[in-house]
Amino acid sequence: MIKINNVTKKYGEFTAVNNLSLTVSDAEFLVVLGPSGCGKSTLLRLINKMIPRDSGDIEVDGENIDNLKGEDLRKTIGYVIQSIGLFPHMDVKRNIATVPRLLKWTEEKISQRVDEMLDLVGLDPNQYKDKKPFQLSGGEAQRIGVARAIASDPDILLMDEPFGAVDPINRLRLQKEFRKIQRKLKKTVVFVTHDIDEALLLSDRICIMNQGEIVQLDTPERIVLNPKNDFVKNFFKGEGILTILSRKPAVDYAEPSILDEEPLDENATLREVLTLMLTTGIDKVSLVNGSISWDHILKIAGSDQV
Amino acid sequence: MRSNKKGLIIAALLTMILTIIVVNSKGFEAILYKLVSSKSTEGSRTLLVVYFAQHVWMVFLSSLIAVTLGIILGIFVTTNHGHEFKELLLKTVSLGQAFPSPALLALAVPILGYGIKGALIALVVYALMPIIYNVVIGIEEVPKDIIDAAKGMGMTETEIYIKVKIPLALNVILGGIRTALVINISATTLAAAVGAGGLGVLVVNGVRTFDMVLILEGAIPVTLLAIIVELLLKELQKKMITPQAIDMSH
Repeated sequence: MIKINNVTKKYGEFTAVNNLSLTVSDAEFLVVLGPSGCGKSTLLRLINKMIPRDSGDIEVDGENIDNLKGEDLRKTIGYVIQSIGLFPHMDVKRNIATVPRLLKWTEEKISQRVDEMLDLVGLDPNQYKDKKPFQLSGGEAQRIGVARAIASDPDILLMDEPFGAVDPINRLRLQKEFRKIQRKLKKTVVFVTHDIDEALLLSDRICIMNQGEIVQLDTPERIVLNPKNDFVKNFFKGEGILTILSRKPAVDYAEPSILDEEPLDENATLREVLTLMLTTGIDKVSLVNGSISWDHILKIAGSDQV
Repeated sequence: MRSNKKGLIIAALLTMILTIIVVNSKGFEAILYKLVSSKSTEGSRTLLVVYFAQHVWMVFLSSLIAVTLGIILGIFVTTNHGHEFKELLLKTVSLGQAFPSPALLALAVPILGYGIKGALIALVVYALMPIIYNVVIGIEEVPKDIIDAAKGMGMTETEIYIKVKIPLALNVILGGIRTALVINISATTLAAAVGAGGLGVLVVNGVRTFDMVLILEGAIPVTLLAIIVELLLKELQKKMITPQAIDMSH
């Protein structure tokens, strides 16, 4: 749990974070979304004391961070940045073992943990642990970056546009995989991005920031359907609803009437159903547990049910 | 891999030649007398090996001091505590480098007297610049995001230096040490001017008496030594750091 109370950070005359308060619950995936220069990265770096704040309080797991040394606090919080920052002179296993080594784990425990982490991020330990960072693709490097951040099993992960430098196809895969990992390990995640689709896809809640302040903080569905003001509305440009539909498994909205056709895959989302309808012209799609109609999707998209 | 071997083979050959010259200096002188005309007929009165040992000893001492001092000072000015001294230090050492070395030696004499002390001071001042510059540049060139990641994972300032900054700057630092050593080997020739001995004695005497044999007898071993050290340090640099490991663009 992270509690931020009335925190302000100034750079000279410029106020990067302005009297901001925010609470992130345990195991919550919070995405901080906003245009560049809105203070989102600064906010993240205030939490792990990478930079000092001017006023206000921050508590991490009930402990005021002022009571902890910066490096001790950071050892308990995973941190991933866009450029990853893998150490080029160390192989993959040494990179992943960075924090466990700082925490003086035994070699045996470290080696076991490295294998576990590589498995978790979908890379074969035997194939990857002796590689040097220059031998990795962008997507692989970012997976190692995530593995390194969670190697010591921190409760909290801070991520600053971690998938920003990965190509779009791999990015989507990484996003989905990471969401799965987060759910499985129940990590509390604060994730900074300016990518709207990414925010809608990953988040439990979105915190929209502008000029150092929170504009709106709510679930993605409620933000898309009830934007608080024109800034939020313009930010999503009306496209958010499609991404919202891609978060929804179609089977959750099935109507009981059974159709006589081959049902869609059980993992299919409402967006995929919609795409199928638009491309084939049919207005009813068969699901494993019933079916779903065009009218029903319209109703869902326009209501608070989403 | 092949160029790696080539450097080592050349270094080994040159070392053999140098050893033969130094050990059998009478034979070396005899060859020189055949090649160049000279007024003298006897060559050096003191054995070449004595001057050679003095030379190597001075190079060793001055380099040891310069490397130690250079690395400590260089690292210090890249830290938060030493940052304000950085410009001052860099200006001072480049001034030391720009100052004509014979003049530097001449100035050392009234303060430290004739002999090895004055020579060492001048040599250290001379060798410091390439070392300090390369330490500072090497450390400052470590990409910010890598340091950011190291700090973000909870490394202390000292741990960041030991585990990240210095290993990544090592190649550049070794380059500076190599330059300093090569400069030092030939600059040590000047130590003769303040009575500190070394191969420079032969060169200085040769210049004074227009004796080509003496000049070459001193200059050839100095040159060979400089080339051998350069080659060996280059190999060491290659061995310690694979080129890919320092490619930090990824």
